[in-house]
Amino acid sequence: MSAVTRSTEASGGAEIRGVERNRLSQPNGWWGIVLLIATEATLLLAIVGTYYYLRFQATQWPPRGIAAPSVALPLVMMGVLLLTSVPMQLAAVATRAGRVGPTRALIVLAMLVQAGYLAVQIILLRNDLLDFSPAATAYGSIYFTMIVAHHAHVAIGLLLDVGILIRLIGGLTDYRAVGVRAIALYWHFVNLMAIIVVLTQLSPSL
Amino acid sequence: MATTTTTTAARARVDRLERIWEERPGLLGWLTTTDHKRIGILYLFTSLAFFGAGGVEALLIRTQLLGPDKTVLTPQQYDAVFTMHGVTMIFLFVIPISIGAFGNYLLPLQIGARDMAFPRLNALSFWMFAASGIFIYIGLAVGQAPSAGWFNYVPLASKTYSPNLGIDFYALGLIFNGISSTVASANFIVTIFKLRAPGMSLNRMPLFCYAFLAVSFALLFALPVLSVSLIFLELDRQLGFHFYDIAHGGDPLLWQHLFWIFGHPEVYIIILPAFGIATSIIPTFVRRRMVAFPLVALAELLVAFIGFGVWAHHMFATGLSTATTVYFAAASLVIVIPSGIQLFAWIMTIVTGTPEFKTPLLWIVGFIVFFIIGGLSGIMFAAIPFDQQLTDTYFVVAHFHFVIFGAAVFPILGGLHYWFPKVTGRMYHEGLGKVSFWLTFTGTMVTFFPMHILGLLGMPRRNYTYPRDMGWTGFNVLESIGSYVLAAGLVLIAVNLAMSLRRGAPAGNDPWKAPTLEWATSSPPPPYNFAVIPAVSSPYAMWDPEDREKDVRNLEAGVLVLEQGHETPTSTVVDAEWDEVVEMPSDSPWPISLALALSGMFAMLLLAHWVTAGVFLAFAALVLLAWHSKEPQEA
Repeated sequence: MSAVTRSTEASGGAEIRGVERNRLSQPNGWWGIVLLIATEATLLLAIVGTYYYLRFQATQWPPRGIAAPSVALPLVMMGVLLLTSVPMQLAAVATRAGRVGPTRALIVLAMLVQAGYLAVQIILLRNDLLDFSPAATAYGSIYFTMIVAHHAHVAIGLLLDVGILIRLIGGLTDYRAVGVRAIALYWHFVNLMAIIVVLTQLSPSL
Repeated sequence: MATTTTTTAARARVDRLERIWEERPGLLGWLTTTDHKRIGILYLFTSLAFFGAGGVEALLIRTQLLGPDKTVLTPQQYDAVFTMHGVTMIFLFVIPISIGAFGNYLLPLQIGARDMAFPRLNALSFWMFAASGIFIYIGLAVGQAPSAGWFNYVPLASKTYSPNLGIDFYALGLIFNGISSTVASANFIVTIFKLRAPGMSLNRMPLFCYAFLAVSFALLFALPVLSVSLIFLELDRQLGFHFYDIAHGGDPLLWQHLFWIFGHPEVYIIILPAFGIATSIIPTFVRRRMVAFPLVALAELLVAFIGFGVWAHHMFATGLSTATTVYFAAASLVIVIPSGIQLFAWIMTIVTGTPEFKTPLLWIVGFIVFFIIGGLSGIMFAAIPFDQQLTDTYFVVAHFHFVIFGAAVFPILGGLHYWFPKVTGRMYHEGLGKVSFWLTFTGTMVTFFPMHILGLLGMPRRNYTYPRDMGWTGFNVLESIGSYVLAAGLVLIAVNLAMSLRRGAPAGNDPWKAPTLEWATSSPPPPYNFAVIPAVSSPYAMWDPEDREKDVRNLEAGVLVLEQGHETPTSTVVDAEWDEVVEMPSDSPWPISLALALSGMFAMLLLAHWVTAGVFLAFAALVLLAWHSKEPQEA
């Protein structure tokens, strides 16, 4: 089989474009991230499911003495996070074309917005903690656990951004191109979960 | 060598593969290995060590129950011992030996691949499993073992009623263990999807691989729910949250729902690899292909899928609404259909073939007998009033030991004999093998069958003793004697296999004339598995002589040898068309380092040293960075 392309050795634009064109099915790394997303989605949905389980058992939700969550800012923040799917997807497209410059720039752009999102969310979380405690009621327990679980996924995504940017300093290889696509997919998943988590979080006020 | 080499050209190719795939020698080689076969062997011995521990715990339980009012164990010790017995057998023995040892060793060989899809991740899952097992056993060693049963119901498991660290060892240890299994299952799925030898389309994949595919998907979706339930439990216990606390708006039944959403798929996770082993052994010893191949493949997948919709049949006695219980009773009955399909397929394959009852097939026949008994008592539990009457009695203990020991462990023991020649290159002693089977079979029957009767007589499970005048003494004596016979059978297997390791007759590549690809290569297989990626045109690849002749011609011509590097081909998911060649990483120090960092983190979480735990987590992140500092193609 002399015509075999050793795809991971491809580096530089033309070779990567060639590999991407010849590939018949998704590479191993793509499958790996899809399965990670499947299991993490199950984890987050089990937490969201618990929120509704506890809510439907409660006579008052949120319990007496805790104000219903305010809607405007979390929704705006969710919208901002969702927008970062655009540069991440464009970065994935750029890698398939073997273009390392735009790939780096787009990931940096998305990362700045994602980091800003996380920073604002941490401040909001601190404010919530001043208002009510996770150790006082089951509502507080599930409210904070659900939100922190989602933020942890955002933080992991930021680490993935940093990791791939470090790898991209040495230029683009097909291995890294698959990495960028995997990380873009991960962010789409985090953003999709943001919709579910934020709407659940705000559901008493909606 | 992997293939009988005839020409010098072929010989030179094999020599080059030997050099490329050479493993690092000595202890360091084992600590850093990424070879699926070595990892499989590590899994095997580690899980067998835990099997020994779980077995000693079982014998302690039976000795305590040998007569009324005995004091071999105190009530507290008894609670700890039966909890550790359950946790050990399920999480540290059956799953790791079936998936970790058999799956790891055999799956790449059966699909004609040179390794798993993610070899370093594979090493990581082993080291995390070993660390999590040691973690849980440290609890026992320091006198703080979990003691709320393997399903660990709240409020008994809450801080109020279980104030020591036992439950925390359980919860954190199982989260750790779950990460290991999740990683392993993702690895198996990608390996099965992408690394099948070109030509092995899904309809040509052995049934063993279907079973492992089903198990892997079940693990992937079941384990996160267990993790969530355990995280909630630790938040309740360590930070005073209220998920399971009814006084503050929580709900103890939430634990039961989450636990059994995981726990019932878990039952099928335990038994599906056994189905896979059965479908490997039966065709070999009855000299015919499996009856109803596509139906059996579908049934294996269906069992895993339907297993997610039946969890509340563990909760019929908790006061759920009638509509709920009736739904779950009906769903539970539906599982009979895919189970029955497989059962009839096994029996019909044996009946219509020409069976030769060597030791491995004997274990499978034993498995079928026990699966029928355990399955029938299982169907009874789908009847709600019956379940409510007998829940928490020895009838339940009888049922799940027939299913988990009889039906899940017997094929594992049969598999140990069946693949012993492949892994060691030597044959076991057939006569001793048969004696050990009959001892174990008799022991199992005598230990567990009378438990049905004791259950019907009302003996509750998990009580450390019973009064003299209940009429339970005779059956308990019988069961305890049975357990010693069972243990003798298991010891005899160990003696037989250990002696055969040195004295057994040389096995050759294929002593059984078996149908799957692991028998195409030498025993034990070389690090690169196959000198040439095998040609495949049916699920019974070794029974297609033209394909094997083609392999020999390919090796001489240098086709499909991949002798330029540490490589394996990947193919398309359904049709297994040749797609590309990927570099496989070789040995790496990072998987074991990452497992150590995470062990440190879990130990600090246990002791509530949050900042130190964070330091270990940061260390884990640095290890990951180092892990990725060298990409496979740069090696």
